[in-house]
Amino acid sequence: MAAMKNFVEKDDQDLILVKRITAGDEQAFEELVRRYQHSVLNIINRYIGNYNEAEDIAQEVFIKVWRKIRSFKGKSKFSTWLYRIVVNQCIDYKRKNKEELVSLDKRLAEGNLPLSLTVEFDCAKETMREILRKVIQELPANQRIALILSKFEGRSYQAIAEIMGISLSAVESLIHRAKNSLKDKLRPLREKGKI
Amino acid sequence: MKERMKCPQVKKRLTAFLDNEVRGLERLNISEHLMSCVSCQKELEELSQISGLLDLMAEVAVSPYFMTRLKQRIAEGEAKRIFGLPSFKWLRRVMVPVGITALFAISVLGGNYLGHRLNQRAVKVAEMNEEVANLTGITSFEDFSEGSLVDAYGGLLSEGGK
Repeated sequence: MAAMKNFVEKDDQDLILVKRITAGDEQAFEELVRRYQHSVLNIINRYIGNYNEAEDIAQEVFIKVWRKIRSFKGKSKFSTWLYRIVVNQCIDYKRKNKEELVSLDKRLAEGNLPLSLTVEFDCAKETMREILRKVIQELPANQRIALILSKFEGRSYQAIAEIMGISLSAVESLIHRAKNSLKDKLRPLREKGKI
Repeated sequence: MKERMKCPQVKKRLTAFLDNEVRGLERLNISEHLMSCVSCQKELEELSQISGLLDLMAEVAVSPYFMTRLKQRIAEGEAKRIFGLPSFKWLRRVMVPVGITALFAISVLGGNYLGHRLNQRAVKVAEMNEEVANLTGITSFEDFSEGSLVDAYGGLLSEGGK
């Protein structure tokens, strides 16, 4: 069976699993979850920056998949359909939990950064990760989603356009603005020669 | 021959260029521009640096209990969904007043039945007493006439006790 899988395209394998799930096969659902759980969890974790909540939302995504799988008609790839649910869940989460994000620039100016960010911007990897997590959190929702799907999930601009329901040029613009924004926010580090 | 690309045009496409989303002649034109433009080279370098920095963002692992919890949540959700269906909501709305009314009716009828049974018992006792009185001519224990058999028996008992 495992050897057979090598000859079947990943997208086709997804469709076969979906067919089995709609016929009530719970084992197929488990297999589908195992295929995508890592990617789904990482997208959400990078988007909201909190592991426990990310895991919770990832489960909500799969609960939706379980409930709505019959509405998937196979017009797009299963992964596109799934990532659309992920994107909507992420945006919904932020809308429901409007947290007051104080901009990193403002905090730098006020000198009230958390301890982890005040170690004279040393470039220890952990500190750098924390800074990156913060600056990514400050990006507008659409830019953040597009950047995560492109940079971390390796999705093409075309695939992102389908997932987000926007044009190809809009995707390019979102990613370009996101990277420029990160570049500007990290400029102080660059100027100090820390990166 | 196509006119050479200008800096603003190139800078706008640099992210896509880095992500290999620009192909063919346009890619060639951008590459050509980059060979001779220090400002765009710098921009490309900075963007590439940002991409490199983002690589530091490590991936997180999925908890081993993810699937167990997911299945549990689905099962709970299904149960909630079934009992939250409109028909069940309607049933719940009806069942509460019906239950209270039934409880009230049971207490009234039960009380009535119990009262009736007690009353019947009292009547039966009275009837038995009357029957005994008719048979023995005794209507009350204080009615024993002097010298009667019961009086003599009572006397014997009290003497034996001394």
